[in-house]
Formats: sequence, structure tokens, C-alpha cells
Amino acid sequence: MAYGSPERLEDVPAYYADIRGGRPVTPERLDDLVARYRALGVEEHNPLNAITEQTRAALERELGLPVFTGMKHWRPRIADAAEAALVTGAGVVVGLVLAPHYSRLSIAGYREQLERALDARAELRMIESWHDFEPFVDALAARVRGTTAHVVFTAHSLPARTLDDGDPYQASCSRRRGSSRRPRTCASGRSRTRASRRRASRGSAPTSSTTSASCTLAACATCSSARSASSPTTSRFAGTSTSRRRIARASSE
Amino acid sequence: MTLRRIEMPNADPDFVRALAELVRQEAGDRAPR
Repeated sequence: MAYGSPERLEDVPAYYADIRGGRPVTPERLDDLVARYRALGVEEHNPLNAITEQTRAALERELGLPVFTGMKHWRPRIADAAEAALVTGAGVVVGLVLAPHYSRLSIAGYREQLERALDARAELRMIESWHDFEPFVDALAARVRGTTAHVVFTAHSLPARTLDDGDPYQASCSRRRGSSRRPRTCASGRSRTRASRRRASRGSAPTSSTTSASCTLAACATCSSARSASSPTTSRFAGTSTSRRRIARASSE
Repeated sequence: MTLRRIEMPNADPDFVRALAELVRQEAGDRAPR
């Protein structure tokens, strides 16, 4: 599952309206978003969605199981992916969001959409976070290993009030950075107060184990894009860590 | 100073294998390998 991206420039108003949940959008903001997508090469075709499809197909080949794309704010919707999985006879659906850190502003929303769409017609196994899943970290580390470069971590920001409510997002970002195998690392982010940073760093996320009793598996997965339109000059994924911790059902759930 | 970005791995084979392992672990022991 992924946030979604409009296929054509003319889709941007409807896409933005979906993100805003019906709240009014000023023409200036809409123009700004159109300009960002245009800068990414979106006119009649969105290269980001093509990347998503490449990743979906690659994962399907690797698993030998059907993998479906579901977008939070565009087509194909998460509900479309759920229906497609059910049509294959799936008894178990694994929910995977291509955003490794848990936040109730992001992952919880995907889960809610998928749960609603499945409507108890299949068992849902939701991967809540995977930011320090070792094979993932290794894949990233391989890209900087053997260099003398400093590593700068960048991450999407959250409103300070969300962190104040105990959201584990920032703390999990810090853990990943702090457990880096490379000593020279630093982080960048925005929209946080010093107090909220302290609170977030004190928080400890609960962990869970996974029981194993499943039948047919259908994985609903897709790819985040190489660059997000809202932040076209930063990558969400950069860092290293040493151990896996799955954050399950944070305090908001 | 030279800036080199680490892009989203996307369909990089190592990344895809990592995702597949993640899904297998979540699915439990009845997921094929």
C-alpha cells in the first residue's frame, strides 16, 4: 500500500481533494501542487506509478504469490486491492505499507481502510513497521558501505501535537539513526519542538510477536515513489540499524 | 562537498527480497518460500 499519486496532471485537483477529505483547497495551493508534479515529469503519465508497478511485480515474482497495489488517496484504492485479493480466494491478507516507520497519522489509516474493505472476509496480518528489519537495513547499508561519506538521515515531519500525543514515529527514526553501524550520522527533520522531541525520545514502543497459522496468502503491497511530490528533493529512506523491532498498534489504536 | 542521494530502493533485488522476507514472516509458516 502507498499514499498514491495522480496518474495525470488533470487528476491533481481530485487527488488533492481526496487528501483534504473534502475541505476546501485554495487555488494557490493547488497550483503549487500541480507545479510540483509537473517538475516530477507528470503530464499524461506518472512515472511514480510505473515504479510502483515495477516493485509490485518484482515482489510478486519473489513471493510466488499474488501482490496487489492499493493506494490511500488514488486508484487503485486499497479497497480495490482487498477485493482483488478476495477474488483469488485469499484467507489471509498481509498488509504492507511501503513506509517503514509507524505513525498513527499514516500506517493506522492504511490499516483502517484495509480492515474496512476486508470486512472480516479474510484474516488481516498487518505489518505495522519495518524500519529496522535487518534485511531492509542491509540493503540500504550496502549503498554506503565502503565509502567515507557522512550519512544524513531525512524523514517526513509530523505536527508537534502528534508527537506530544505519544506517536512513536520520531522515536523510531532516532533509534534507527542511533543504532547505525556507521558512526558519522546525523538527522534532519522539521516541525518539532524541543519538548516534543524529549517526550518522543522517552517513549518506548510496544513490540509484538507473530503467531503462525495462515492459509492462502495475498500480499497487498506497493511502492513509495523515488521522490514524493510534497518533498521532491529528499528521500525518505536512508539509514542503518542493527535489529528488528515491530511496533504494533501504537497508543492510538 | 559532494551530495549523493540514497534513493528509495524500489525494485532493487535486495530490497525486494527483504520485503518478501518481511511478508513471509508476517504470514507465518504456511507461506511458501
